[in-house]
Amino acid sequence: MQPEDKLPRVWVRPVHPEESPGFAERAVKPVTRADLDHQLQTTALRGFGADRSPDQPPHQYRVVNINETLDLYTKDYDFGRVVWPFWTFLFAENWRDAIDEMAARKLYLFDIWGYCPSGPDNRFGWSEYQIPDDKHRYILEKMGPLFLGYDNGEQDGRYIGGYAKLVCPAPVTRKQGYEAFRLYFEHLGDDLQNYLTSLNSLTFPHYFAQMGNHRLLGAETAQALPSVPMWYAFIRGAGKQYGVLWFGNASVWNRWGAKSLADVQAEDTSAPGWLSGATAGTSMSLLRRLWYVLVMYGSVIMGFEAGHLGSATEERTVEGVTKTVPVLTDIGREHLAGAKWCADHPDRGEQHTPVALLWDFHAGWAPPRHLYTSDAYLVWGNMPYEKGDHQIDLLLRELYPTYEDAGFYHSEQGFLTATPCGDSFDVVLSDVSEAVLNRYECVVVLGETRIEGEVLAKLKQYVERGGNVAACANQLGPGAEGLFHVEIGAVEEAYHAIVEGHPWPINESRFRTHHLTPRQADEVLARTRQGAPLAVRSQHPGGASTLLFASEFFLTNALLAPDKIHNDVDQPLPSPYAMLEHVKAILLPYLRSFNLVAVEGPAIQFFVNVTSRTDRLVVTLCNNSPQPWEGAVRPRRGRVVKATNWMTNRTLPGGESVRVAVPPLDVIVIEMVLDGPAFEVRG
Amino acid sequence: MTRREFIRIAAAAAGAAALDTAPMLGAQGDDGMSPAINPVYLTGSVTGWPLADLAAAGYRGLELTPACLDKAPSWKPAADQAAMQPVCVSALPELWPYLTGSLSDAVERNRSATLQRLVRTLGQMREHGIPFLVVAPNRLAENYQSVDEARALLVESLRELAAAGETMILLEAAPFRLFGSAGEIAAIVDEVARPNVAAALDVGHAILNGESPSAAAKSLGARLRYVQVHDAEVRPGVPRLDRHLPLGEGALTREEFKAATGKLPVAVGITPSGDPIGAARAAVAWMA
Repeated sequence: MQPEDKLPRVWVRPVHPEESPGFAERAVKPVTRADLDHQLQTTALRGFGADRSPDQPPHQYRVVNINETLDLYTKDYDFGRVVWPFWTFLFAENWRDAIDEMAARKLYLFDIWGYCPSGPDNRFGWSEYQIPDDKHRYILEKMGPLFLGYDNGEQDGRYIGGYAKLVCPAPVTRKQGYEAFRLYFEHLGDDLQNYLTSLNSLTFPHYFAQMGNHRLLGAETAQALPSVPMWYAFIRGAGKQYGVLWFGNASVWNRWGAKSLADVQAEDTSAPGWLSGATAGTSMSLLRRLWYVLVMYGSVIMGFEAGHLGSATEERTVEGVTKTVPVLTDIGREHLAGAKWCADHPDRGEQHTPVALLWDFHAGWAPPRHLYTSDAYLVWGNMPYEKGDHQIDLLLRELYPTYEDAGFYHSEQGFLTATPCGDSFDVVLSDVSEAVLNRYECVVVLGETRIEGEVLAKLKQYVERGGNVAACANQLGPGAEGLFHVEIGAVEEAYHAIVEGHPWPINESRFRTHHLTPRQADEVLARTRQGAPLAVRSQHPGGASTLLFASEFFLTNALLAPDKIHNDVDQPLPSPYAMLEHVKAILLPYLRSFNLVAVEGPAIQFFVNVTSRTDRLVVTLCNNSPQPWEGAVRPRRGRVVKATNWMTNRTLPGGESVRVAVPPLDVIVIEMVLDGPAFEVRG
Repeated sequence: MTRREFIRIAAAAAGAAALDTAPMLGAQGDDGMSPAINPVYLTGSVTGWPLADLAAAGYRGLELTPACLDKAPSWKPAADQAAMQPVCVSALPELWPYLTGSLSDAVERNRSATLQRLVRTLGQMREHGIPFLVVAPNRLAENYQSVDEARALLVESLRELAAAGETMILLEAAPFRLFGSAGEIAAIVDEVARPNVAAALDVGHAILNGESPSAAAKSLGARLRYVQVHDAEVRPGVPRLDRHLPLGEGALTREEFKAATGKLPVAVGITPSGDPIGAARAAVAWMA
């Protein structure tokens, strides 16, 4: 646990890519905050019209209404300065006009989309097009830093779902799995000038950031894609690890169809081949929650995928000119309200993510099920989960309950989840630098990761500098026993645990466990009835501690045969393993102790944003339940002298804690000022 | 190897299925099985193979991948010393759609680049006297390709490869791709209608595609010239993956194996997770 008498040391600085090692040498530089005028940018415009269909020979066409289109989305309605267009405008006869106009208006050209492997480029749809050098040069010359990159759009999912299993023979090692993945993205990068923005659809942002040709990281949230709190743990971690900023986006699609608000009186229809209409696709409440959650996660660009304008029109006067424009939809209104809210609350701070979940670079871990395959439990799309991969999954199920259901339930269960230990984790891979690791107060080593060599050296340094580390005995390689102050012996089996402070043993399913011999000074937190330690905490000079579990990946032995596992819509996905009860009793409170606030009440999604002002906490509470939430937010240190609900700008009563009500399926953000510091600034 | 010798080996191999009497490739005059092995799959490396050990285990032939041919100086002397002859190049690693290549890619520059690479491979194979090149269909290109279009491109590509020389081009079914049944492969081979285009059978792929290897061999008939062997797991709840499992670790039975191979040339294409020599030895024992 964190000592109560000592202020936690908290990292408060946001990522600044230009401060990352190697930035100056990078051929393709990540977007900086200065490039974005040090403020959140927003986007809605998704394409330009053409005077004729580009796919009709001789494929000569012109972009039309460039000025009118840009006016509509940036002036008539101020949806923001970021233009996010479909690729075909780049091959129109007058494509330079569009570039020139966007440059003249100082708009951002973002994530040019529509690339798809093996689609002929003369179809001008989802096509495998190549960007010619001269075209790319022209865009860069005209737009400079305003050009944010070509879309690596949902390609990690496309690779996993459509290509990984065609690798013959399937990989034997994780490194081979990575090499095949890399080949796919080498092809994509070469076609798109290696000047990319990733719109992830799975959990592979680290690999994109590491490739050195990505300018921004982000995700297509909602749709039928992964759980957002879990997913942005990956995206933030990758952004911090490799010095790349991230953006947010919420899709109107779900597994069954798309929201269309063009005519809200019209009935939903399945005529296009999917469900479409006002009550199809992503719900408005989820879209709204995603906006605020993604913004508070530190996204530098935010937008909804589509659907801002309706079919009907109205008269609107802008800059003294009255014109007929399409009416706003609820999506458009929510966008404008969200953008105004962000402008009104610019000092949102940096999300406090004190705990890094660390695993091997080549792991290729993906959620146990997802949109792109009916298979469950694969890494790299073509290798079965090993026990360590199940460990990652089962810990994430504790941190983000039902995360594995995202995209599988009509109720939207899993897209946003409660966070019983706080939404306060980042995922980093084993090539993380010591400097980045030192942002975190705790590192939990997970998966098929061996603590040896460079990883061991980094963790030793980390502990010497005051960092806390948790791991399992089976992950320790040569020399790692010293880090945890134990000697490791033979593997045994057990079926119970006695946790310190609990009067009776906890029953467990059978599990494999290493015999640990701790030093006398170390604290045994759990043991068997025969006295074999199951969890050992060691204090280190400088205030650090290490926590070691004796059990194999802190999981039971396999409990379920593969043929008992079914992966169906609207049904839970069982795991063949279970996380051990004594580990839950020790590890989860330990992880929770790193939060700056305690949230009292039913489980809810919560996280804290911080700035260098140590007596100020900004708390986001997202109620992902259809029931109203009532509870209290209590700072772990200090009393609340002022609390403001940023959604209403109303003051809340302070004291030891702040009583809060969050409407069903809604989100609020509270600024709390304390009577003293809640933390020390780290770094 | 001279051109004359090359043609003789290729012709002997090509006629083996029809005659049903020719010895295994790599056989040293005995009646026992002297299979080939793919050392790249076995070790995960295109160099540094334990050829002496493999020869001692009973292997006489090598199935290579195109990448090996550029590195011939690194393995050829050891192969000669071990009396192991390269008998086939499996082009499957060059035919991972989009990642490396495809014979029916709807993007013409991709298909063309694949053909160029394989024509170069065929040239290198001639230099080394390697009689067989194994290729496979693609998946359907995304969004704008019909199965008929993909098939027409595959047929065209096979004819282009066939025109590049006398080497036997063997088409085999692969999982998760188009034309996964032996019947479809046979029909495509017939449509290509070139004397140096025939079929190979990968028994593991057949299992993954839901065919019994013996039935697949029967469907291919005289078109079948070469058999690759590895195991495959097909169990409820277990994702179907082209893992090239060691023999005995999946659904393949000895009876099926023997019925599928007959007296055809056989190559072992397994990817063990550890101890490659042990797995290679075990494969020989399993096949005996």
